[in-house]
Amino acid sequence: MAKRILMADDSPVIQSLSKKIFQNQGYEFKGTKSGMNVVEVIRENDFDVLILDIILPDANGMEIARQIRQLEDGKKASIPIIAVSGNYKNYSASDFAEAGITAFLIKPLNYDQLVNTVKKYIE
Amino acid sequence: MDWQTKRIYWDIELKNQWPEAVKTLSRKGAKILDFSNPEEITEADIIFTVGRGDVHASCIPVLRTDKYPDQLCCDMVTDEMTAGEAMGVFERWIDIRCLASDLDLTDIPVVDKYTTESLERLAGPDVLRIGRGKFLKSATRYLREMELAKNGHKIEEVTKVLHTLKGSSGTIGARQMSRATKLIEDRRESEFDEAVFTMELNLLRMLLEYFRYESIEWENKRSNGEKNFNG
Repeated sequence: MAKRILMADDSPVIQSLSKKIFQNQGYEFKGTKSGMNVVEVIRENDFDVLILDIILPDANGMEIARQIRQLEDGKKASIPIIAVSGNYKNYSASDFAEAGITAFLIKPLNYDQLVNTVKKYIE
Repeated sequence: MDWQTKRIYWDIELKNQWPEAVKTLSRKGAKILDFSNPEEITEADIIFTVGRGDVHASCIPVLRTDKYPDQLCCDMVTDEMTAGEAMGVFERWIDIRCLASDLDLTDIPVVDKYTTESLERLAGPDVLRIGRGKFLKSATRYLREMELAKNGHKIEEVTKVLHTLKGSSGTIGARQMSRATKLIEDRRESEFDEAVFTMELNLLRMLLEYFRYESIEWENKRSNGEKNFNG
């Protein structure tokens, strides 16, 4: 069964490219532009990795990560979270660790790096 | 803005149509290139033309009259404009070109070669073409949203949209655009000057047109069977 990726990013360009790239790699891909429902989507579905934009127009990615880590279902609470953001200067490594971020990538996205990071944590 | 270093190419027809504008810009220190010598166009920092289809260079604003409307120009002056209105257009774009220099954008490629190669390899050329189309459409919308937010003094909204545009432009490989949005975002952190931001928005519009142009070129070369073209 194909591994499932959820991506939360408000950019339609990033969503569109990511979908095709990860489908080409043999993954199932679901995207959401809103950060409001990410925790709910994780709770209700089975995903193997979450790619999470830290700065979403309607939500803070760090807070989303914290809420996911507190889910009752241990498997869902431990989903690898790959955070992405262009404003990394606002956060330190300990901030990411405290929020439960598994890995952090700087935007603009380098897709080779993103694919490799997903593979590392998903397989 | 320092106009002393700016070299302006005027098409001969424009010189005849707007002689006062040429004189005024000269008085302000801009160097007017030889109207009769199309060779000098390659030396220009800014080009005012009536519609040479082949005129285009990185970070050179190209303005046209309405005689030859073209989607690749940055702005237009029209026959209905007064001399003062036309002069306003000319001055605005010279200032924008100066801003591009100030932000060190002129030596940066419009399209990032590495990103293009990576996306072509991972997603395929068709997906890259569609992605670029989506980017152009969404970036146009973001610029409009920022204009509206600026007019409504919704600075927070401007910041959010600018951030999204920065992410999209970097991801698709619109390198000048990505660099400009980053620098503008950094400036926004310390201050918000409406007049400066208006100019920055125009700069982003200009850079978006360059990316559109490069994308069309890329697609034309693709459809002509040229391999290994990386934008």
